[in-house]
Amino acid sequence: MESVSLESNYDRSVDREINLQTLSTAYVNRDIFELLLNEIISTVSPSASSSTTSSSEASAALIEAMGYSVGVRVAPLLLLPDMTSSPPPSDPSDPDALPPSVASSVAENITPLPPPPPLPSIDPGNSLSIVKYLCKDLWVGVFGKQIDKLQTNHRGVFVLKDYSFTLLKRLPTTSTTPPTLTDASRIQAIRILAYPCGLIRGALSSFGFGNSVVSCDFLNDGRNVESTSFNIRIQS
Amino acid sequence: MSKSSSSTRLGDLAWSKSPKTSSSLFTLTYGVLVNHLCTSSSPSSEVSASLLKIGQNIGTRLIDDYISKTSLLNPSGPSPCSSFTSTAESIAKVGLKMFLGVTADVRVDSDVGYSLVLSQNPLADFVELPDERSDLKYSNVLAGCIKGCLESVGFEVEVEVVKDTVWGDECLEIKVEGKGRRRDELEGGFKDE
Repeated sequence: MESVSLESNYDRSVDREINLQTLSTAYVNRDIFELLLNEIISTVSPSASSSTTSSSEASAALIEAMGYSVGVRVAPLLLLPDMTSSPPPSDPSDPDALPPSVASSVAENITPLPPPPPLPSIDPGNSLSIVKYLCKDLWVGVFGKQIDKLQTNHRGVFVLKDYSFTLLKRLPTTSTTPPTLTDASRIQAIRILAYPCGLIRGALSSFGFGNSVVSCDFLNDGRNVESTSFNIRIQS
Repeated sequence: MSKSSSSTRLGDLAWSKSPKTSSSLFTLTYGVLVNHLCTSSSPSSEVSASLLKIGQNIGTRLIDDYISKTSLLNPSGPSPCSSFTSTAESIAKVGLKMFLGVTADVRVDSDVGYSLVLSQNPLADFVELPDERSDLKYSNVLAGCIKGCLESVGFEVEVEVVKDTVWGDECLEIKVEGKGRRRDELEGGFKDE
């Protein structure tokens, strides 16, 4: 496995000081998104008393499917303006494609950003280029930070490591040193993580890599309870 | 009015300090939730009720965040919940701004009721209801959230979506009616917990 540099000579963090008046319709508070996601998980998860392994797996699969349908639609929208000169083309026969009016009106909303220094653009056939976009633009647009480490074997397998994954930050931990997730937190974490797995799979699909398998692991690196890795296998 | 511009300033300040995520992500995530509820419960009234309940759950968690952040940013300001009518301004200019990035206009209907009028609603961007779901209260989660917040600070309320862009109206209008305090109050003031 080789580490790939996610060069960030330009800070894409959405929390930086920019003209917020223009952007106020393009963003919402991330805490609200996290609260909504928690409610979704509660809604689809079985109650503790009626929970079985298969019902737990079914609810995780449902959450992953929800992430997928969101990922397919949101990935093209998070392409920052310099990446494409026009909104991504939508295929009218694709039932998941955005209607052109939606794609262009979103691009109009976000073009008032100040011009950034030139960045390497996405090469649509190159899976590494797409995965790098996931690690940078998509992760920043959704979670406010980049993926911390990207590794690949250059044969379709990618490992994305996030050492402080925001969705896991509020889970209860044990009082051991170093702290780890409690059993109940672990079950909850698996459900929570199903959503970004689906998002990644949906995003890959929207760029033409429909045949991918995305899973995740807890890193247990002893530093942060919320360290996670997302593992992508793109079948060609 | 100096009061309304100070609320607007507080809202803008709180918004500038909040962590942000793509509103399309939020819109789409809410959309898959509504879709899921529609496939698993039949009548629109049940789905609308579920959305209200989900909103209330979110509201009860949100209010602590709201109070702590606004008192940090505006320590010498008035308490945001000092009277029922002052909650209107707090929600419309501060709360909605810091969480959804939008503001609302307040229309006072009576001593115990007001309406919030939103021209922008991230929940319903580009949403179209299918014919069989035309009576669904799509934005009910927002009504529930407002209800949950107000109940958490001691006001018994009824909150209802009366107009929504998904129904073809020009705006989202949410009606809030006060039904009294949730517990005994001291004469002339709201007692904090």
